[in-house]
Amino acid sequence: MKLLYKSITAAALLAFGLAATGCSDWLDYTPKDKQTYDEQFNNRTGFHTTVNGIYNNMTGSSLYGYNLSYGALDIMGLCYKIANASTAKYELCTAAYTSSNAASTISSIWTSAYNTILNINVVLQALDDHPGVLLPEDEQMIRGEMLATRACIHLDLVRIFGPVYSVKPDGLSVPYADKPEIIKRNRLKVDDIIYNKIIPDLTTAQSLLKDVDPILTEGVLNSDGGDEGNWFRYRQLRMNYYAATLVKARAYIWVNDYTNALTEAKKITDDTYAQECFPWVDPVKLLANSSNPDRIFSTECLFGFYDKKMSDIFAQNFNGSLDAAVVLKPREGYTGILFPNTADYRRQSQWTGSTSIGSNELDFIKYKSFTTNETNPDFWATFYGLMRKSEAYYIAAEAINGLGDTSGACGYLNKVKAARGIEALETDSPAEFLKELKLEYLREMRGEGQIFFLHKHFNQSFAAANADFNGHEKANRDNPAVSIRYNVPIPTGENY
Amino acid sequence: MKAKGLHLFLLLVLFLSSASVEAYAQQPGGGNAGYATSNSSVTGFVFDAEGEPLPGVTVKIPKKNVASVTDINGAFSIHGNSGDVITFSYIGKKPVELKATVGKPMRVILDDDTETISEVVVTGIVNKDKNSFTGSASTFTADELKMVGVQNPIASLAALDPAFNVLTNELAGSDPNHMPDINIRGKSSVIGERDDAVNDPNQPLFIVDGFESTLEAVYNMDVNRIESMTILKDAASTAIYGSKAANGVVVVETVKPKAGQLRFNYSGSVAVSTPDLTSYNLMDAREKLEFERLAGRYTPGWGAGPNDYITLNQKYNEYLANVASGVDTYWLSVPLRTGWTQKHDVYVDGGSKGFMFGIGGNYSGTTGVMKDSKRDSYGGKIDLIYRLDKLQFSNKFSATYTSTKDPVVEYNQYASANPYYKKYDENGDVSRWLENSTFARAANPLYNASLNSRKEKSNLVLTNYFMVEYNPIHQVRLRGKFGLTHTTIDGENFISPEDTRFESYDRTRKGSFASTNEKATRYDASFTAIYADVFGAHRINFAGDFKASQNKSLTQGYSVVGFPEGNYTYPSFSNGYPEGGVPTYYEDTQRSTNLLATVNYAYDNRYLLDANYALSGSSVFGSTKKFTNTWSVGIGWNIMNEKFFREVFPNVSMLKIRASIGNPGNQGFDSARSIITYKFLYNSFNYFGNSTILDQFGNRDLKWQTTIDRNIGLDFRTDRWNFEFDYYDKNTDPLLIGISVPLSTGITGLWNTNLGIQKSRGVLASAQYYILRNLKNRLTWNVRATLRHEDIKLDELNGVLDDLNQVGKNTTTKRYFDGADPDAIWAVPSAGIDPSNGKEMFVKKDGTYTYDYNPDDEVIVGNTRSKIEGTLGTNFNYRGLTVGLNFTYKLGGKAFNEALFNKVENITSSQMIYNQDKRAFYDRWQKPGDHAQFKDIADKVPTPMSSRFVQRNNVLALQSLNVSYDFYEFASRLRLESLRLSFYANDLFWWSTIKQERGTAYPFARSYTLALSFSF
Repeated sequence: MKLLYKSITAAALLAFGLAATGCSDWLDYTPKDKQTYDEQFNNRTGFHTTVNGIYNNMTGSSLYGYNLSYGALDIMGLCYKIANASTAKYELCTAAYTSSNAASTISSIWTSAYNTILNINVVLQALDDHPGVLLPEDEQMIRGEMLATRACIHLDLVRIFGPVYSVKPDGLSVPYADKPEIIKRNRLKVDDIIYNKIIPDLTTAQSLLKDVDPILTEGVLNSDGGDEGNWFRYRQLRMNYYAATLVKARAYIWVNDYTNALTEAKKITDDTYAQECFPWVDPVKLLANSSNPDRIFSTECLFGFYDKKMSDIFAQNFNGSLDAAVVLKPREGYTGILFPNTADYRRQSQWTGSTSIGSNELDFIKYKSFTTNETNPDFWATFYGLMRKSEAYYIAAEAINGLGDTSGACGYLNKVKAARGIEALETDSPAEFLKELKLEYLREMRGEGQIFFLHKHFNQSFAAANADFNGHEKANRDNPAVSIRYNVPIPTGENY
Repeated sequence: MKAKGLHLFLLLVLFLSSASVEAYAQQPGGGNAGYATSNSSVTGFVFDAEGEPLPGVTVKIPKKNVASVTDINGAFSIHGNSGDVITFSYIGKKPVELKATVGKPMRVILDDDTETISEVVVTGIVNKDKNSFTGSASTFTADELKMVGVQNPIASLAALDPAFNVLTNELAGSDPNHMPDINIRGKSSVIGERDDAVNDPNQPLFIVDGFESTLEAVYNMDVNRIESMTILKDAASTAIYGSKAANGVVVVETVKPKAGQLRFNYSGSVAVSTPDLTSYNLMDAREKLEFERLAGRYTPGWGAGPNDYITLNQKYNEYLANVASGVDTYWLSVPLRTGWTQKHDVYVDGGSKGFMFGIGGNYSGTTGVMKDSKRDSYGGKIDLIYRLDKLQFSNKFSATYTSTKDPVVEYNQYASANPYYKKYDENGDVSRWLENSTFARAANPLYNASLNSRKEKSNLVLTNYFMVEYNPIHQVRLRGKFGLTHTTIDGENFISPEDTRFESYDRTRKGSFASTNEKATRYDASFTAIYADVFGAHRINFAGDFKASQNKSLTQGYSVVGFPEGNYTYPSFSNGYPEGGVPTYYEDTQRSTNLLATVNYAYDNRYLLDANYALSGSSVFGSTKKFTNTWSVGIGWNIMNEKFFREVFPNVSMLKIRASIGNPGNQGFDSARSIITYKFLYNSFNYFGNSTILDQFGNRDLKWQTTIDRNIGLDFRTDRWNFEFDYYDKNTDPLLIGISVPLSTGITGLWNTNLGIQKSRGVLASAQYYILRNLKNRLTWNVRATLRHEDIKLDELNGVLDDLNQVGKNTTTKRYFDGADPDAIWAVPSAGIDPSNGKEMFVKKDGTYTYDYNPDDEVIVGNTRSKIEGTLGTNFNYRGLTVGLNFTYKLGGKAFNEALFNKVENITSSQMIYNQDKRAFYDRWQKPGDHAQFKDIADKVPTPMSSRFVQRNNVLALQSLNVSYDFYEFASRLRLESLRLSFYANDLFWWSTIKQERGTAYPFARSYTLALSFSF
């Protein structure tokens, strides 16, 4: 009997012991109504939707869909005449960055940028945590694109929030988030972040993409892939090898590293395959075409994004018949200075006679929609360009000029000018060269956010006497202190 | 690694238990070698009338002056010879004298005495003998709870134990549908503010009949159905609940059916409650209008034209005419009424020793003091106990259905209405607007309340607790438990399209309906093995317990908008979903396990030791931190059982010193905080298909918040005195808090992390003294007092919260610094109002006075926590009559008076349309020379937060007054077993040094209850 009791006791204790040890797995619970990290990355589709989500996140209005393209940055770059006070546009235009509306715009740039970077870092972490889920070339391509995208966003933040390099090369820029860790990161000096963070990421990206990026063998592939799917296609919508290379050239030129900038730029300008990949826009197809003109010169774009509602950009911002408080128009006389030669393809295809009341300035129609083929729409009907190969020529030209060969620099500049149907520049004067280079940027990059960076790079002042930018100053009642415009304060939420 | 630890632990458990069984097996034959040889050992067991083992019974052989106490299984062992007279005594039981028999265990049964006082600490897992227990715990019987009131057990408990703290809710007042915020021995999470989505991080764990339960379930219980309530306070007593125990544990045992003839128990009560508006101090019509004039509401501002003068004058005269014609609406009373509560509880029990049953039902219906406020609750239960030799099965099933209704218009909307407006228009109808002009726009709260808007909720809780217990031998008990709780909550909230809030809405969007539905199912399973034995002077009680539980809840909801006017209040009449409206669907599953070993050892009932170890697992925290260890050790010394002491103080029945240390954990946090989740971006479909983005970036390294809890206590009792004292030191490290992080982390909003430590130290004391104690004449009179004092400090924040402190300047009074008290009130010291100009003067850090407010001058001006608080009470019994009084008091705390800050000063132009505190009219500076407490009446510049608004917050409140009578003789004449009639008055008065509005969303109420209970 005692034995019986003993065995019952022992058996019961043993049973509950087994139950206790088996509970570790039982405690691993994943909620069904949520897509958790492990579920997201245990399959190929999960990686693809996440990467796609990151690109889509970048196209939101707080980043490249408005603020970092034709919106905040172009406003800060004095592309428009803004009249209505106490709006974000006015505060940005007058460099009143701490006023509430402007501050919230700037804060949304910062927040969304770092949130996108967090998303990127989680994907990079997931590639390490879940090896073998993706095909090796897929994994390599995603890693390359994500590293380059991370560097690209950081570089834009450096160019917004960092110092004017020529004035204060050792000024603080922004923190570099390279891991999905929630820690306080210090702001890095410009040289530090560019040489120790951005460039290494881009170099790694280049070497990863070099082997697997279909753009290097099959071109931009901007058509539907049918049964094979589109994951390895539409390379202009992805941070491809050439896009990563241009970002690298941008990074070097920002710190006036001419030699390295030239090396990277030449990988685009002096590469025959790249020339085939991104051919100059065909003026025959462009100028006389009223049905589907490629006004953004999509063939030349190294990178851009898909925007289903492209047509809204013109309709809601640039249409001259919009209310004066809303429409984004250049100041009086601006396009006249910009396009002394009205035969410039850009003048012809991207600008048109005014429809506004009380303004003679031209309307900007780069993003105007056209009658598109419903069943087989043109790629450029929904494509917003953010990086173009002409920038590689400008960077190369600036670098060569910086290295002392001004006439050689003109050669690179003239390649673009020739492709735009305007006369070449022949000069030995660096000043004359730079003046034309800046004008070229203004003609070419409008709507792409680069103009603010151009002004900041050259620490451009907007004194009334400066004929090239005539009228900017008074029209905007801008603060003459250049430093205020270029020293964008980091958002208050960062100061912990 | 973890698995290995577990195995080792289990081996230890097995070894210990088999070794113990071995030891027992040898005992009866061999006796106790090595003990006094002159005496044999007399052993046996003591049971109560129901056959339950009775621990803690004093066993004495008076002739030989030896004594012992029964253990948890009622077993005793004493040194004596056959024929010695042994006395068995136990408080609440009739003493028994028997002749000893050696060699064969004795079987002793003690019958109930009239008054029962529990000597067992009911822990919900293994009951501990109060005498040998080293933890800090208090147990209250049903009678003690009923002495305070029959409203709800939570309120009663708060009046009895200083550690159990129900926070006064200045907002929700006496809202019958609002659950109280409670904590035991203060908060363990200071910075973690409570929000609706998350459990209150400071809420204690509730255990009902050995199963984990909820505050709401206990709140809904009828006091008459409760057998006892136990509060486990320190680590030694709570550690058995492992990671869930840091906030303390409330253990509730419900009434069990008793054997015998069929018995019918009824208890019922009727209560009347009346609103208590004494804290309100609002202006009447004349005062308000005159205040507005003085404050410059009718004086045009800069650049005003002549027309403005005319319009303003006209407006003033219009109101003045109203006042002159006698309009003086007392809005406060408009939505109020006399509230009624009735409760009925019926329980029928009976059966034989082998089979017992109890069937009960209860109804409780409350209409609150605010119109449209209602709570109805129906409950039913079936209890069954079946005993078969060494096996016992018991099953408790209960169902509770509660339906509640809340007023659509909050009380403060009435309180803020201007008294010079009429409730009704000329035709006697309720007007939509009190005023709707360019000058002022004020909705008539009465109108919105008169519409068919409704806010309703219903709640169905089904629980079934099953238990099987096996006593193979007296020393061993094996118990298996299985519990199932299913909860369904349905909520509907309809707002009429005619409500004034929809004034500017499109016709097709007016009116709204929101529905929420929550289903939760909880499973609990546990297995317990208890071993208890006595070897001479050694008494050991060992238990191993394994528990697993899963709590799964699913919340769904949707809302629709656009309703036609009229009685079309259901969603099928709506126009559709709000733009972009997505139905909510929230699933939460929490799983937890707890493996426990607990041992209680006593040597000669003098030296006591408790030790607990628990390995708790939970799905709540990150996948990297699934398990946590909890342990506690307690030691105690029963001085009263020492010979030297007993000889000198024979009247002291209890004098115990005890100390404990342990680390109970806290897991009252949402599981989603530790995981990373993704969401789909539905509006950005492109060539590449779908896209997903981070929805929540949870902290995968989140650690359990653990507390090192140290406790030193003293229990003292004589027939007149009863005294308990505890000193505790709680060190919570790390805290789990939500902090703002740099935006460059990619995180917006709060980030949950472990940061800093919190050190709390406190004292709890309670004393009871019988002024009269004449048991023969059944005359007793006692007074009692309880006291609580606590100090809290934060540390190791390392400046992470400095920015929060910076942002908080002039908006909150709380600051978080290393070494600082988180409840301290920070404000710029004020030197009062300058009589010459009505401006406030501030004291700078260097002691000089200034008119310029500088938040950097802030200092600590007080503390919101009272220095001491507690309860005072007295009970008088004479034959069947009982009179009781219970007070609560608070001393030494301060509070920032919001009423002064918002309703006396800081009345902006836009707030002129609301009624304000009388002091804004009477006590503000008006002309040079006025020595006023408040600044210039015409000054509309915002007043910053200064020490002027910080006031002493000393409180004395009469929580309950109780008169009851037990009709002993009359009852037996009616062939009733018992008959009792009671009267209670609750919340009769509330006196405070601070004059501040209380119950802003729902007023406080006083209640008077008449209760009747009988059984036959």
